[in-house]
Amino acid sequence: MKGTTKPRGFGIAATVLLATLFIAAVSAPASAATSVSIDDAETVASFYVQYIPTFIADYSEWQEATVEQSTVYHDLDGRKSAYAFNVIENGQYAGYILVSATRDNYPILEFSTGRTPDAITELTTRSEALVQEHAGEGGLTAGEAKLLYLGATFYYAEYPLIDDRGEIVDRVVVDLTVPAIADLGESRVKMPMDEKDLLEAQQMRKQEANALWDALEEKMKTTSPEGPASSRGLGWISGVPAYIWHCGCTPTASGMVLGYWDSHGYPNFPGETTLIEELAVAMGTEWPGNGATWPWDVDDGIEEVCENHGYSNFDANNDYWMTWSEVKDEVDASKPFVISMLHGGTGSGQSQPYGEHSVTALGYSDYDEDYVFIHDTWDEHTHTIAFGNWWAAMATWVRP
Amino acid sequence: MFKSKMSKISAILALFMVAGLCVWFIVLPFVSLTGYPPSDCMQIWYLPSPDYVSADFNVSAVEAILDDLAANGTCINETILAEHVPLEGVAMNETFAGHFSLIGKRNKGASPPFFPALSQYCGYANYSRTGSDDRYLAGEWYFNDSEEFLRAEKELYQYLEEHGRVSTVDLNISEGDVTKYESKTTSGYFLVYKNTFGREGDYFIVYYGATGSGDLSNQTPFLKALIADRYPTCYGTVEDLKETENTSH
Repeated sequence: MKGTTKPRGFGIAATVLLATLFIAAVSAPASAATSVSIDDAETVASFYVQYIPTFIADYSEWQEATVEQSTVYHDLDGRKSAYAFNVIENGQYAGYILVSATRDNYPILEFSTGRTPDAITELTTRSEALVQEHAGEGGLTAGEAKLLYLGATFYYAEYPLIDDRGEIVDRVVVDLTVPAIADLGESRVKMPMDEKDLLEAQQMRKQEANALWDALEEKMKTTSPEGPASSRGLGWISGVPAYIWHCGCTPTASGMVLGYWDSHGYPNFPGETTLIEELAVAMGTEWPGNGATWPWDVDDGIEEVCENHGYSNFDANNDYWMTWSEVKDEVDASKPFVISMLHGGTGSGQSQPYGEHSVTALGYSDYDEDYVFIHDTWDEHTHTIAFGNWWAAMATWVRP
Repeated sequence: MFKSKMSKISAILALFMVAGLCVWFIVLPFVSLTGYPPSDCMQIWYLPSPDYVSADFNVSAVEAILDDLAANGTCINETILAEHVPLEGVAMNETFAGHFSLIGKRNKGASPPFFPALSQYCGYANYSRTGSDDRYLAGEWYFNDSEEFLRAEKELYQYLEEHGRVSTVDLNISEGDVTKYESKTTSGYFLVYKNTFGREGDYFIVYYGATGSGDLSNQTPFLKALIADRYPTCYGTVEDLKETENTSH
């Protein structure tokens, strides 16, 4: 089917990115005041699994997923470091999400459609065999494992070694991802910075993490209980003009937005050709030339043209992180907007991918697959493109 | 071992991190947006048409249909949406370019009648004019290859000479001349548009004419209005047809 190429690579990158940010902060000590209860973590996980599909199309099946508690991880000092939750879709396991057990670290540590190493039987069986062998060499037996999470991909299991009197006389740690006996003594420190710099860096990361927790909680408060992407339906703005490419795709797409407002209470804008040409000038579009526009100039150019026609109340904003819920909200508010794509896919009815292209968004379809209805400047019809069928997309919201 | 592994994995993760950040926050703002139309959209580019807007329809009713389909297990994909959502634009103005009306639709991929097939990218449309029984034809051939264009231009010129009278005239709508064609079946003007999109390699041969054997001079004011409906105002050149292959193209 056309138009459904998904940015799979980014899904992986996003997961890894979140996890990477955690690595350096994981060793920071957590106080009781900053600890996160498993119930609070579950609330965060429940919210976030439904939020992920709004910016990573590969996770679209998580739109109506739920979570269930799975595993509690600790750090090397025995404090809780993370909670794992299984993601459940239609009663089936659909992945996992890892939430920090402390506000001193970033809230969402990992998410994936795979499994954590401690949930993979082959790895745990081999780990236990290794530990039993290691313990047996000293005439000891291995006790119950405590799972450690020390950052992305750093999953360990710590086993107490028990003598024949039942006393714990030693401990052994197994790297679950290999698996192999690990010597964590080496892992401590040897950072390429002095202690003062290290403390400052840790402090900064704590502050960043706290800010992220605050932002996430605020978002959870202001978002509907069923989640931002769980509703279904159709959104549509009628009366959005369909202009064909003139001077460049971006001034043309922006012209359609202002052309819409021209017939909806703001009649001072000029006609199609003049409007597009004015926008091209205001945006610094290379015209006469190849019609190229730099994305960061889009919002300022639109506002300039609005002001030139007596509409200083128009607010145009570039949003480099356009979410599905934002698309729906904007359409539901009857405000067409510009989408500028990097490596855009193929729209319905078109024979060629959009590539680096600006279009006008005027509707959405929110069912099993998410689509945006667009005017693409290539003809006068409305086309659909799957949300996320691009490497990156910037929205330019235009609000009178 | 741990230190070594950590370094290796950290390096890989850092690479992913940089790549992710690049795509979202660094690369996108620095990529210029051009979005040139593809060749199959070019084939009716210069054919006049009304202004279009997105349709006005009962969204709730369509939504109810889609809800039912989804509830019955139908995947609401692009095909289903195209069946239920009016994706074709709605004409804002029945008449345009001085009271012309489109008869039917603009035909994509169909060679204009009365003339040879010159390119796979071609189209035509028929028009009427308010207050008259006159009928008009706009036809177009698009080329993205200069040699193909030159061959087609030569072939067309020869065909026109064999089937009617050909001359070069100044219509006072451009700096250059255009080609006048008069025959028993249709008479009008050929224009050659080049580099419309500010890049090399786009060539259009476009015909605007009246059908039948009437006097072209009477129709010229109307044909100029039809031409002006899609006339380029910013970039590119407008020329007449060349009789022989001209390497200066």
